[in-house]
Amino acid sequence: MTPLDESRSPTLAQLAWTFGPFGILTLAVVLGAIALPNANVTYNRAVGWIWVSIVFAAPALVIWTVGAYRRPLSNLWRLSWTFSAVAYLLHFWITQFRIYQGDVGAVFANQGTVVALSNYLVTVVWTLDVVLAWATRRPDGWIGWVRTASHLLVFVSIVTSSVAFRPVFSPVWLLGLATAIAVVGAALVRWLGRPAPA
Amino acid sequence: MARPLDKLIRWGQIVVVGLGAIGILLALLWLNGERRWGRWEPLSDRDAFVHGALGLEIVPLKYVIVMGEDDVSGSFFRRGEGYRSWIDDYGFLPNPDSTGATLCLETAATEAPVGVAVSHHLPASASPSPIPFVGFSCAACHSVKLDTTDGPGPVLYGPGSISLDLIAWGDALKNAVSDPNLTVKKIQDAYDELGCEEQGFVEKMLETAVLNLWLTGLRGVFLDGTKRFGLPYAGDELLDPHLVPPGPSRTRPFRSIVRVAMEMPGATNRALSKVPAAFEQNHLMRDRSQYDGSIGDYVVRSLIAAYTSGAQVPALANPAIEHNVRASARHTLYLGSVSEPADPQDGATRTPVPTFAESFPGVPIDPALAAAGLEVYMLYCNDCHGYRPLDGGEWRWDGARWFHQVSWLDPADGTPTIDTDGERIHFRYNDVLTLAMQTAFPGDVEQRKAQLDALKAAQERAVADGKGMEAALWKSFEKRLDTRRRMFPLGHPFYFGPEVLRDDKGYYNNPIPRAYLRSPYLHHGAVPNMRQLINLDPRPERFCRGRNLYDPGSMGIVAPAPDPAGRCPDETPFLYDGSLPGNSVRGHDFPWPYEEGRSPERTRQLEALLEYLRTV
Repeated sequence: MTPLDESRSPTLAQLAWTFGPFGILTLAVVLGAIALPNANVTYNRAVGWIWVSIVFAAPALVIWTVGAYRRPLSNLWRLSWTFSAVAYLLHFWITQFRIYQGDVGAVFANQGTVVALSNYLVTVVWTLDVVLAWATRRPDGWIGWVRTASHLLVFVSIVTSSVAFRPVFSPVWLLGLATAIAVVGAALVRWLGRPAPA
Repeated sequence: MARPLDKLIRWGQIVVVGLGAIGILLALLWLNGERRWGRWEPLSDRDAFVHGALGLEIVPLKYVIVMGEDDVSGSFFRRGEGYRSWIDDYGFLPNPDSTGATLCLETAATEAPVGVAVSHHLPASASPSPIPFVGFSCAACHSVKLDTTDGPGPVLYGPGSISLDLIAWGDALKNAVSDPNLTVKKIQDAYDELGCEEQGFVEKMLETAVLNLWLTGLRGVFLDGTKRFGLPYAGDELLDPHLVPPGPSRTRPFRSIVRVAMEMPGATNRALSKVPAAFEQNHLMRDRSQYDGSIGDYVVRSLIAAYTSGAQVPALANPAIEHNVRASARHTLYLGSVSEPADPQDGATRTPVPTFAESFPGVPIDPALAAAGLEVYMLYCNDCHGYRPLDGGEWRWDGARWFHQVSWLDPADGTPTIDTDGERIHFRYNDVLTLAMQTAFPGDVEQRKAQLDALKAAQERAVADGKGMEAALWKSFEKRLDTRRRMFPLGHPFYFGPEVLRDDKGYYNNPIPRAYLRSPYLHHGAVPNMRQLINLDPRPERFCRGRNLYDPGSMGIVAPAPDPAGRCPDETPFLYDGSLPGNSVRGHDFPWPYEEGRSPERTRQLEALLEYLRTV
């Protein structure tokens, strides 16, 4: 049987690792967007939120990759995953309603059907997974499927959007690459630590 | 019992969580502030023209109020021996609504000079600001005050300024802001001494933070600019026509376009241009804008004016700024029309501009002489400009064979056939600017595809011509377009198609309503008055510019001659030198060259023509 996730009452240390940086980065995104030379504050905030989202997605993906279905997922995972999703939803809101002004047709016209659909899919699945993470500690059954799907979708999204389609050695490329390497490393750790066959 | 290290870690964790909470709180407060600071009410077309911000915000209002003080930045604006203040000496006009109160944050609407647009927009991005910043409205450049020897005249909105020396002022401002001794405290202390309303503690704290960020940021921008364009001029250099060629009432529009659209210095560009009158810009009177007719849309004309003056592409998408650009452009459609349009373009309304007779009731017009002048006009001027009937009715162009056509270049030597200065036509990059500008504002998906195709075609042409560097530049503009596509995937609100701009080599024949308000004449302000333009009087090769008086008799500015050493009076300290590139006073010899018009009969005809021109 899959073990229950850790209690949903975070410790001070867990908050210090997640909420503290999230709050500081929130201020950095809001004010830093004004100072950048391209002078487009809305766009800069959309980009800033995706960076914050990747920063928090990386530890969550690593924790999940190492421990999913084997050991309880920690509050650190839950908090990182949540703050990553919050940052992503802020990015999503800015792009959909400020930059695209709610014009879904324009989103598809600009991004193409595959990218636009996958973005909407990630948004729905990820949001659902975060809600479930706070609603129940049970990670098995259909919840497990949702969780697996959300982590895979987010990982693929990060790799494609920040590594595959961004200039090499740009900051977001480096951030995405570091995340990818960390997750691949975590998968390797999981594989090496797999239970011996009975 | 907890160990000291554990305690330390625990306190560290509390601090980090606390900082996170403070960060979120501050971010929410700022975002809530942005909602309040960014509120705006659409201005009327006329108010947008006179007061509306165009995305040119550069300095905080508080700094503008005190920057002329000697212990702030005053010395950096000094030039010439008769310097009084930056407002007077750089040709800004006093606010006609002034109540005589001290210029403070709360009295800026009535006490700041004409054209100073106060907004809560941060420089460059135009995102909401907690403190007021200052940019310029259309009226900064398009307004005049017709002071004569009889006394001060009224401020009129619409004509090109005859006094504003904006480029020199810009250099002085760069030096002033970059002065390492300038501090936020100096600005605030100088302001506090004015006796204006006191600010609250929180307001002042926020202001201090924003002023510090502004000062640091703008200094960085100016330093970067210096590395690209060279050091700004200072002191008396600002009056040297070899160093700062435009002088009052003129700009270097194509150097500016080369800088903003092509991101190159444009240092050799000597295409000088008078700030034009913005009258009757509707599609019937002026189907194409600019002296060369290069812009086929009145909104794009205003857009490019703001863009080349420094408004950034994202700022121009700010809804309030977009409204101001469109509304002020619309204001010019029937500005100066004599009657309400039957079928107004884009719902614009008429704004009267006083006739010569209304402005100068003490200078009566002789109807018989004007009628004789109309005959001369119809023979020599109507073909290109059209005419206004003597009854003061609407402008007409029947029989005007070359109205709204380009005065082409002489195929033999490439000079304009009307022999006026050719720098505005022959400057470097003239043939590539249109594409650079047109691709600076991304369109929607389909439009962008066409923009990209055009850039790729330009690359191929450049390679075929052996211009690899130019091809690389077009390639970089592809990247620029892609970046801006991400910012404006629906298309920039000011996207315009390639058909709007054209690159004809020549000067465009346009109507000349309210000709008395178009002095100094020709596209580059080379001829001070109408007597000289029609070759009734000889044209001076050198004359002095600044805060020139207006002479209704000669129908133009009073332009004193320099002394034998080339020095100009304090009121008009800038020497216009017709021998410098871009300054030729020759050409447009209509009805005939000066040498051919010395007979009594021809002199009488020219006097009559001058009288008629007072009526248009």
